[in-house]
Amino acid sequence: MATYVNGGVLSWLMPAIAWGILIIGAVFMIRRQKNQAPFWKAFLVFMVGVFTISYTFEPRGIMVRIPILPLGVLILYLTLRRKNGRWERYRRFAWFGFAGNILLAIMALAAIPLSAIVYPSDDPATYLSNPEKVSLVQSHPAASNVSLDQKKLAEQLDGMTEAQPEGESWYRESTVEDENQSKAPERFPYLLSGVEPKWGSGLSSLIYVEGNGKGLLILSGDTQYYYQLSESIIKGGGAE
Amino acid sequence: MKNVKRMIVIVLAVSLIAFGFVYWFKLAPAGPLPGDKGAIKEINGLLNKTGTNEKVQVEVILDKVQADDRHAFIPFETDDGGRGFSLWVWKDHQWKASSATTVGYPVIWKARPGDPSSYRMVWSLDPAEKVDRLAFYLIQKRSFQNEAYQPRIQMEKAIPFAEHPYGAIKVPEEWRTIIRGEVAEFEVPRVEFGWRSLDSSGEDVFIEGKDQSSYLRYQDHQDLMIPLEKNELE
Repeated sequence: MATYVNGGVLSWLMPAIAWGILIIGAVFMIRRQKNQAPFWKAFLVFMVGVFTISYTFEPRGIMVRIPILPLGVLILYLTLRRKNGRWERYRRFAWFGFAGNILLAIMALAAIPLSAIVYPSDDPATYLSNPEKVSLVQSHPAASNVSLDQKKLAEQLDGMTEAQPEGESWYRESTVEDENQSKAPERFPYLLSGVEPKWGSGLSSLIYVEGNGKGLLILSGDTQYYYQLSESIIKGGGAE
Repeated sequence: MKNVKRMIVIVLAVSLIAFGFVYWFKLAPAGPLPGDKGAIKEINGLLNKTGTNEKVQVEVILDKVQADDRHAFIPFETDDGGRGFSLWVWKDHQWKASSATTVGYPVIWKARPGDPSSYRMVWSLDPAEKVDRLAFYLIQKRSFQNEAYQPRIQMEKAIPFAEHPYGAIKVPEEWRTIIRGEVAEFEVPRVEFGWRSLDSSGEDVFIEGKDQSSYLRYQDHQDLMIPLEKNELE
């Protein structure tokens, strides 16, 4: 099942951590060398070494660069070799910069399984983190004048059972008219408004409530989840 | 040393002038809306650019509604008794009409595209029309694609026509939640806007309108509102 890394905190946090590790590593490496190359020169060589021609792809909206050609290292080699022994002194920092790209790519890729752990895509709490703050919107004339029982929603959020969405028959019952029955009214005539997803997930979703108050249909991107509740979450009006 | 000082003075002067320009044309707060005469002149200039043979002239400015500090809605009446509206924007330190129309059917005006709180439903119709009320709709069609069911959304906002033959009302708060997920312009929109004109018994009335010309000078973001009929609604 798809989890969207895109737009979430992890998509920039993981590269930021990777850069932090790299820069600290470079500083340590420069400090601990025997033939004292000036600090800022060595650091500049490291930064140029990071430049590569790379193969870029975007699984789930997160940018991953696989380094191919060490362009920065090549430029440094051509400029530094003119003075005897200079290239040998700086070589390690340039290659360290190049190798750093591999860490960046690994960390970026790691965001995908990590987001699946932090933001499980089949957990309603991932899409709805504030059940006590949401309200009900009548999104179709089939709705009755009812309000949301926030307590009932919050209580049941963990224990909801995921059910098989019957999309095809829901669609048909409300659109097709056959001889022995008229069209059924919209099965999901309510929407939750004020929905906040779990912090940092970057997910946006629409959450529909079933007419009887005992079902939630969550649509996020191209994924759909349907949960059934044992107790109705709507109260007042003409609720059954 | 002298040269260095001179350079510093020149650089400072140039950047000060540049900042002054940017401030004046881009950042300065908007001035007051043009007076009726100035507004009429500007709108006439737009309407008669369209190359129509009949010259429409604006007779009366009906109202001036400031949508935010840089956008305004100015409905008008023409010399042949037709109604229409113009949309205005504060740009390059002056108020300019970004569009004017004598059609006057409702459209969605996106003052700041991507920010649904700035969206307004604007219209300006002949009060003599036999219309009791206007109804605006937010519609999402029911669908079943790639194993996912998308429920139908149908929300309505009715406006009494007698008091409001023209208007620029904000898209209702409850609709904005649903529009918020809408992204780039070039994607097929998930939701659409519609409108109906009804008589007192709740039947659809067709609004004839008069001769019609409209002109868009530069892109202000408008979205069509689809005319709907009773049988298209649930």
